[in-house]
Amino acid sequence: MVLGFSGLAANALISVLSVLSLVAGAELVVSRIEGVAKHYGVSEVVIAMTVVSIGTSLPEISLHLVGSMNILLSSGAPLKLFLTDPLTVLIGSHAEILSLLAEKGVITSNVVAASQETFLSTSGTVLGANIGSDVVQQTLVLGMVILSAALLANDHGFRFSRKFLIRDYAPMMGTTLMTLILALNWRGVVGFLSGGALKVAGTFTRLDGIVLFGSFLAYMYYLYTTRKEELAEAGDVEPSDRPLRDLFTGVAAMVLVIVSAEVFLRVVEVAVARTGLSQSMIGVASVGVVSAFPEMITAISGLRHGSEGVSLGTLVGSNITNPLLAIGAGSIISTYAVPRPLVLWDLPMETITAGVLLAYMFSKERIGDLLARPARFAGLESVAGKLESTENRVLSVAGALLLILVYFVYLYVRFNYFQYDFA
Amino acid sequence: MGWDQRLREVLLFQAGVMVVVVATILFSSPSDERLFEVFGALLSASITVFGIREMRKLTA
Repeated sequence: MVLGFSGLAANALISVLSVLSLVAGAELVVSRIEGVAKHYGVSEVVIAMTVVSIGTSLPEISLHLVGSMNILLSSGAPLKLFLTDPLTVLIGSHAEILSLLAEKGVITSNVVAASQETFLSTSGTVLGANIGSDVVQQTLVLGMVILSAALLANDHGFRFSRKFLIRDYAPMMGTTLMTLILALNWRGVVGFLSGGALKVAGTFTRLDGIVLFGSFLAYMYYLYTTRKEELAEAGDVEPSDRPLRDLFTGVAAMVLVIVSAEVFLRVVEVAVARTGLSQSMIGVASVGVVSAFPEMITAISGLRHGSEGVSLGTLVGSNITNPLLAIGAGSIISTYAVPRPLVLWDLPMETITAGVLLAYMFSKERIGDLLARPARFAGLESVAGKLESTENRVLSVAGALLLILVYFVYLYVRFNYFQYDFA
Repeated sequence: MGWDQRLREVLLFQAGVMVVVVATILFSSPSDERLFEVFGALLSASITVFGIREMRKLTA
């Protein structure tokens, strides 16, 4: 029962409202805090690296932090949990630490069972929402932005800048690959390659969280040392006229974000019990989609002002912050159990799509030249001519449509073949 | 010491530890999941270090 309602329809409505207030509240927090920071003369670069970069991922980050706190508190002994065995705390899962606490008689077997249940269900929801949001942005939203940019410019394609592909897109792909590597159960991989069962979903341990969080700091430092001037142009909010009022609004909006995250996590529990859908699937289909909207609106409105670079940078930047900061910080607090579909479908699909697009953008001319030879040999002069005139880093309208199609294929496969998180 | 030099040293250190971890996994019965956890973490951290180093080179 959530907020006194137990019916499925009422919970669905609460779910929609909580996700909308989560995303809208996050937008309000960013604009108000940015205005206040500017009023007090905080450097534009510092604002861009903190408020703006974290702001676009605030719904996912809040969901992770609230979820991780729920996991910790469900153990009934959150502080003792950190004082059990240092090595298990660092590279073990929440479930392993619970077992240790039970062995020592700190908690009962009932608490262990309830906390494990919270651990699995919360992990599924928050990781599904996080990765789901990334998939939507990397396929559907990116495809739509490129398509809109090409159509607005009355062109047949969209030219990516080399800097964008190297400084933004490649790190995004690297981030996804890192997340996949950390999410895998490497012992299971070795076992599977030796003929064992397919048990490759692992745990995001605190060590993994430190690696992800550390990578976020390293990336921020890289940005700070290489593109200060560009970062300074990222925020477009005016300095606040009434800083105290705006600060109060910002804090109130943050409370709304946290409450919305808590309500959403409770609604998911009801939805899972009533519908039989997995937590990660609900995360993918709800927060995953809705939290991508602000980035889409920002990106498309950026196109109208002719700033494609900033649009795509914001879009892709949020895909770097989501896994590194949200999963990183959440794993440090509580660790997460990785749902099976994440390592078998979501993350590999995301990495491969990004990798193929990146490789294609840098080798399009070579591929065109290679294909032109057999076409010319077959007497298809005009086709060969077209193939030879292809340019690197240009994605055609058809390519953008293909990217959008990838999203629907992703959803179809996800909903039909990966229905269970921990079965 | 330059930034790239530091990154190179971190990468070499990680590679060294990774070789030790992989050798331990291969030459002992891989019963301890923790070794695999360390392997995954090192591999992932290497991507960050290597990636940032390459990005700095390519966009210098």
